[in-house]
Amino acid sequence: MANILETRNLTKFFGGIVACNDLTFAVEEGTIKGVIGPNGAGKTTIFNLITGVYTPTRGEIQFLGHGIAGRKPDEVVKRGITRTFQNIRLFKNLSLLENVVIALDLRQTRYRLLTALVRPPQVWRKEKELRRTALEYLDTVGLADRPNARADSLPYGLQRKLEIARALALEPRLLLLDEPAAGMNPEESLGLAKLIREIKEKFKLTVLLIEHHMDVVMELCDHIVVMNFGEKLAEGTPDEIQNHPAVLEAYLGEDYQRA
Amino acid sequence: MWFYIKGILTLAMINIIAVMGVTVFTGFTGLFSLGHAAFIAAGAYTAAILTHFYHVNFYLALAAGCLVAALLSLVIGIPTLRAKLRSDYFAIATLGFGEAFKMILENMNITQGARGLPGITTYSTFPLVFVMLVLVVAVTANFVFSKFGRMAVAAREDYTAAEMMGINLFRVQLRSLVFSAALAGLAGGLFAHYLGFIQPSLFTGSQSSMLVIAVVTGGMGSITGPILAALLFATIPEALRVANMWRMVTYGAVLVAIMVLRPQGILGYREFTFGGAIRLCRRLGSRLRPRKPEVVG
Repeated sequence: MANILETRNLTKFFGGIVACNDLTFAVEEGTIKGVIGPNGAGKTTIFNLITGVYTPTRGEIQFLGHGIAGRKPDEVVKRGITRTFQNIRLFKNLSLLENVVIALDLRQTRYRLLTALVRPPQVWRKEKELRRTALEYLDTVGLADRPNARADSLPYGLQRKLEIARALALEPRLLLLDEPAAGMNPEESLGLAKLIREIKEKFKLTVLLIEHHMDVVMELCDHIVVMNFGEKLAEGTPDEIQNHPAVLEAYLGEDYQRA
Repeated sequence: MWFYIKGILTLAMINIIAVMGVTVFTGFTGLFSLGHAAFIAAGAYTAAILTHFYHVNFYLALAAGCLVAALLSLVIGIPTLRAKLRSDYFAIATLGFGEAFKMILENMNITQGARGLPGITTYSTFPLVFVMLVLVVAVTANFVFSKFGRMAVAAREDYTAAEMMGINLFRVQLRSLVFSAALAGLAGGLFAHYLGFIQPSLFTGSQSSMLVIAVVTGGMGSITGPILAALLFATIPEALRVANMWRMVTYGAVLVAIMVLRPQGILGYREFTFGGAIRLCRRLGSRLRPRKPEVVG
């Protein structure tokens, strides 16, 4: 299949610091690609560049044949890229349902401002329908049992799942997951891996994910990019990566063979 | 007596119309303005000048007041919101704007400067203001509980996450500002035609802050909370007239007490419902009675 996302010579400086240097990689449509690397390797920077939070210093990003480098976040979302955040960014004071409904508005809600102010029956119907659809998305990630609870009342792991539901409600083609299994025990993270595979099939997604849990990455990903100090260290299938000398060196240090 | 109460209530209802605007802007969009008195003044002067000097129909004049206030909000809103001014920075910008607008009113010919405009026909009767208030609350609720209100709330909760929902922050914040300025303009028009006399010193920064105070003490993200707070603040100073010089001191003390006891406001992120009020009464009642041991399992 064709590549859904391609970056070419993607570079980002923060003052004198190189957060991402000359990165070229591609994500094939319908696959799950992992981004791994030590802390501070520039993984989240890539997500911020793709989604428009940062403007690249140099380089290009192509999504479905359109250049999206330097576009604003709200434009990138409309093209079909959504994400979750490493340090969860839910709408904390709102209910689970409302969190998802806000996301649904982007594609589903068409009424205009003046119509909304008068609120004819069609708006009532639409609002009801939105809540029903939102409940379906909550059900997909297993959160349908208490839709009216406040988002910040959920435990950490479930908040991450709510973020995934919210990202799905935006009807993306490409889903970026930033450490979805952070803070989960091995059992929970394998459950999450299963969920990610399910939603990928159900919504015909392409997934790009950052993760530190190696069992999740090796289990899920078709391809892996390894980052270190803002540069691409290696790229390949999980098997190739596990035996790549440069990767072992980055993770375990130069003396790993002696250890 | 009824005449006196009616007067207080009419002024309170006019104030609540302006508070509804600030509710959308501050309570639901999360931006603080200290210059909303300028929009009230714009509405008041526009409507009053139109009816007084040009004998325009009262309702048309009110609409014109809304429009001028809304346009005025673009003057301050576009540059500040495009520059992504937020929280205290934005509040200070609006504070300066409010004061500057007052100076302009004091030095224009058509407004008759600091002397003010006397002899405006008093069209704003109690029933008229009441109907206007009901309409305003309905429209505000429709705005807040629609896609547009949700977008504003998303911007209040988390800028980055809101942008990731495809929300254009500038547009959403500007929309809320224009909406709130239009309501402030309407309140101004009604105010001018209630009092029969307006002058620039009626539209000060302290009036702007009173609007924000009503919203914050009433509860962010609530419509009924600020209405309750605005009613409370309209009646407390009147009820305390017997206390004479301690009147405003008590008023201040009530404010401090609310903020200390309920920092989220009287009804933070919730709405007043009669069912909810009954439940609350029951809970308070059961707290007073001796408690039965709870059966667990």
